[in-house]
Amino acid sequence: MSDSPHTFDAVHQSSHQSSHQAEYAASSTLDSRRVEIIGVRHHSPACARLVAQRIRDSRPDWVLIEGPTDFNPRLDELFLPHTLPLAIYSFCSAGERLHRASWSPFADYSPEWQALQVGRECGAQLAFIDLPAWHDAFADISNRYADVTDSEQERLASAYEAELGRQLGIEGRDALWEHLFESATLGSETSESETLEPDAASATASRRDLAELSARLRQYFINLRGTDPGSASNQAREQMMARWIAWAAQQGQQQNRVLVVCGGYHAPMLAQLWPSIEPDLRQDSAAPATPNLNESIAGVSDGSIDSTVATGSYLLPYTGKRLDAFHGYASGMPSPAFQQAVWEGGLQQAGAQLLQGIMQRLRQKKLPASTADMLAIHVRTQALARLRGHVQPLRNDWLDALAGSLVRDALDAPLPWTYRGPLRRGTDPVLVEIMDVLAGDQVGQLAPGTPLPALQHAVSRELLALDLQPPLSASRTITLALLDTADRAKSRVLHRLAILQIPGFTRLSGPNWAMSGERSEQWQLSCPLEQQAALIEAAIYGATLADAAIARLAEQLAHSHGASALAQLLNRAAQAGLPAFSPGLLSRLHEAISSESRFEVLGQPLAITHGLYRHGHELGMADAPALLELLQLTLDRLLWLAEVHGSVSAQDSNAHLAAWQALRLLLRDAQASAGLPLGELPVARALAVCQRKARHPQAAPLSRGAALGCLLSVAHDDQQQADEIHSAITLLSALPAAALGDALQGLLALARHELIHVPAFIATLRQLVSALDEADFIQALPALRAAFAWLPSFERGELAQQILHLLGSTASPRTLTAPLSKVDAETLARHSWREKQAVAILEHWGLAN
Amino acid sequence: MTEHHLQRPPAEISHAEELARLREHDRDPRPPGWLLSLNAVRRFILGDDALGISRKMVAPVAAIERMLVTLATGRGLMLVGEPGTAKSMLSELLAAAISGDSGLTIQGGASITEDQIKYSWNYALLINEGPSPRALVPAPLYRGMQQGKLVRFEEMTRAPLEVQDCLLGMLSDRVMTVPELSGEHAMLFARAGFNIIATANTRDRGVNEMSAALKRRFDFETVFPIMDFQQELELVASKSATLLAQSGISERVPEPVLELLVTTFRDLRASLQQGTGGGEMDKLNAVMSTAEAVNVAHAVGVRAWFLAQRSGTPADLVECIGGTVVKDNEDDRNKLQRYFEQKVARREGEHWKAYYEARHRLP
Repeated sequence: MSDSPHTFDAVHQSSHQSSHQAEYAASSTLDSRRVEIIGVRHHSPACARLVAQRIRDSRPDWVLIEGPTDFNPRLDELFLPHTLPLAIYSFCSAGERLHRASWSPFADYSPEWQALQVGRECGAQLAFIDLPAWHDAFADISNRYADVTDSEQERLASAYEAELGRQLGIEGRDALWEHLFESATLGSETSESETLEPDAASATASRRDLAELSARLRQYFINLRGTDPGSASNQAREQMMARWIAWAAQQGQQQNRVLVVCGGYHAPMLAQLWPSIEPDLRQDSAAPATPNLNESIAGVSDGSIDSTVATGSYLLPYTGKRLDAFHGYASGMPSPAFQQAVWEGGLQQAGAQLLQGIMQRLRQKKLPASTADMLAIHVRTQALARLRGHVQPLRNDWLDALAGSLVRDALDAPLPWTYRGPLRRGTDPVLVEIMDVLAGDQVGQLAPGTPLPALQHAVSRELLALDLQPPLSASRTITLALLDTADRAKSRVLHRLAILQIPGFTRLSGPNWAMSGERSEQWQLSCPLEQQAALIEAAIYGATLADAAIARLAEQLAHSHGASALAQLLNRAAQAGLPAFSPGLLSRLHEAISSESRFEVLGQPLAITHGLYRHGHELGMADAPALLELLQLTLDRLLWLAEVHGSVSAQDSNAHLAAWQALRLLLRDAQASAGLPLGELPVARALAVCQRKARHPQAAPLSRGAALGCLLSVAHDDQQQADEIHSAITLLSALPAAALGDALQGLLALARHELIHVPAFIATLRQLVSALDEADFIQALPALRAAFAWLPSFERGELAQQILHLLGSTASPRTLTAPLSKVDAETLARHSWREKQAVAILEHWGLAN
Repeated sequence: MTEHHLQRPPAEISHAEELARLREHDRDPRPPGWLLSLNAVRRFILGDDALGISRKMVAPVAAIERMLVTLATGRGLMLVGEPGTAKSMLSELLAAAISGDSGLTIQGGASITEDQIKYSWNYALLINEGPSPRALVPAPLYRGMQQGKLVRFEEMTRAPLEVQDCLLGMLSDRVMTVPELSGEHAMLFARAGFNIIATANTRDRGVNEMSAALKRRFDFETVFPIMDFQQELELVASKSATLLAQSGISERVPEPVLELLVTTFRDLRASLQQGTGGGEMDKLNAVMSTAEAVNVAHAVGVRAWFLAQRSGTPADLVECIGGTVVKDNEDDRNKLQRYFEQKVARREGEHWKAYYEARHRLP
């Protein structure tokens, strides 16, 4: 494969070659002996190897690492005997207004982790040099070590990668990265086992490989970054890091050797920045100051900073699944289990391990995986690697070979490793299993004695302040009036505890929806043994009750799918008064609603969103533009699905009507709020959809009735209303007996109030029902019953009165609405049968009329 | 056989020059029986500016690489996908590049029989001489095995099951028995280079579902519709311009109309393209392929030119799209109407407005 297009030269030839590169080179020759900046991709085993090797070779005085500076005093915690992966979780919350939290995850193969471990081993001073997580720069970043943190960076990276990929004939960020950087012939012997007297020749060879890797990385990131100044938050972070580098290089007026490990995107800029930092800063004996917390968040929280600002960083266990790029958008290298295996045993062993794991999994799950398949996968992987010019098969070679050999059908969704983000719907089950095996099931564990966030104290303080402590022996029941501000605060705390599933706090009754009309709630408080244990466990979610509840909801969010489940989460967040949780949820809801395919499912999200938009004042959610946008989207989707003309199954019918009711409520509200943002909802289009639906002969009778009822109910003048009543009568008369009850149910569910007082409607109804013959009547009966169940007993009485009036009877309406006598069904049937026989005999003799 | 007299020359003739150039510059090892190395075939299909090789397919690189490896490792290649995703063209290009002959083609269908695949007899000779190699009339599979070439099996799942299954022996043992003959002619052993590229429509799923045994002998590769809007637009523009020129029309379909056309097709193609805003749509029964879009664009141009000597308008597009999408399916008609009422109505721009105004022309 001598003239394979996959040669590295393209990196050098590629775009962005600029004077910038020359500057970088100049600055690095000036201080190259003293400051070495290694730009890495987070969670890349090759980079981790490079970092470890460079530290061992150059024995720097300082190892500086991209990470939260406020964790520096507690670096020692990182050297306890933990099981990786773990993460530094940093948070800051100032009451309800501000909440920021970000994760800095580490795995064995993280360059940052290796820098820490090897740096300490070599006796270097260690420090994190990036801004703390509460800084404005991290307002929208939940994972410090994500590949891409903002849209500007994304634009830059994807443009460069697309061009480079085009020249090399490779598509996809991960495939490109692996081809360029992970494929170097670095055996495992260069990593941990340095002390075991490695073969001298191979050591020299691998050192040469590392030098090549280092040069490639540098070139790659110089080209990627160009001279782009980056977003404001990236600039702030780079300023901070550069200050640290300058300080460490001069600290104590010595010429220190410094090695910096940071994201590759920052590296070229840091190399340029640090030599220009003011000399007086360099003379400082203290480390560069971290920005002031209160100043930094003053703008966000209206200046009302008080003692409630809580901030901190804790080590928490992390999982392989969360490290995986398929878990979400903001993540690093995909397939953590594979990367771990590469780190531990090199590419070859990782491949073998991967194949073994996948075959085992597929056989467990009874998916086809024969020995012949395994052979085929092996051959294909080698062939693909050769074709692509890889010495050892890379992750992508394995995956492509697996897909080719194991999938025996047309795919409905693209292969998972060709895009970023969660797996798409319709992904082949074999591929789902493969991606799961590659993600692995590693779960980190903290060493005993690692300080845990003080959730327990925080909870007991809050319970004490609100007088909610559970009695030690028995239990007590409290009733909360939700309209009362103090009680509402209590209710929120209890809901947060419920979200964390802390035993001993049980809700006995209360509204299902955060914004429903019910006004009181009952809770039972007790103190079971497991309560404290549960609180200790829940401590991994955060240090304060609100933080922990948010983190727990976020975890549930990752496992929830479908608009309905997500809307439930929104509802729980609202009940617990956690608006800070909602941004991530709203974007997920967006996605779920856009891809929802059932009309019925959307009723609940629409109702919850509408309720929060109108009444969520206390949550700071009322009139929120994000909610309005969501409302608009849900309405659009609902209307789109409303025009699917299929039948509605019996178990769906309630949800179906609830969706129509939610729609009606929203439309009425929109009509009444002309001039407000809500009034800009497309009411006319919605009414046109209702019109078409009500008239469409293929639509289910239930939906036709409901659509018509919706029109009737939102009609604002009498003429229009009369027209709609007329069409309701026409609709009912035109339908066959079997469909009559369904249509009536739809009508009454949406517009009973408008219809029940219209004599013409009642008269037609009576006429239609009495015209049914016995067989038809029995067929229509269940649906008719369901329809009249929509009437409250008072209105049922009114209806009975009208019917009696039509019949010319003066009997009390109770005769019609009273429950049937307590005779069992069998006796009734027997009597009715006898009656029929008697009538038949009378008819036979010509005596019946 | 020269290009001039042919309505549609096969790939090995229309791209003869490029193939020759690639062969000349090909230094990489070739699998036995192949005319080009894997690398050269990849360049033939995906293009290479340095050698002046044009790009012939819009397809992911990794997918093409997987296909080549499948063929090189001697497993059958099954291309599956929606109709009109250029599966057949891809198989033709692969056969032309690898074997220099894309003509060994079996067209699957309900009426196909085993002797159209393997061999049949010249009955005059058969009666006169008895079974002899001279009396045997080879069909594509026989010739492919004999000459060590790729055999294409189009629309495999349209063929009856028993016919499909006659491939089993050929694919695993690489030998065809001819029981009528004796001696060395009774067994035809495949020469290096023989392999099968089959294509199948996902719309035909379940018509003649392949047996598990046969599936096992093929590697499946799904061909997706073109993912990138701009690429698809360019393709439709250039192909429709060619077709219009062939019909003697110099007027091209204007860019905004093509944009409407491609957007509509992509919207209605639904589920694959997520994130187009406003949510997923329901899949239509009608085929919404790029090839079909080219046909519609052609029809728009023809209609506008021959009926009114002007270039195509959004109204022309509505007329032509109706015929393509609705065919005889009531459900699709509803979906198309709903698409116009709810989605087209909300798009910004003059051409979208005109498109929406013309919705009464829908069937």
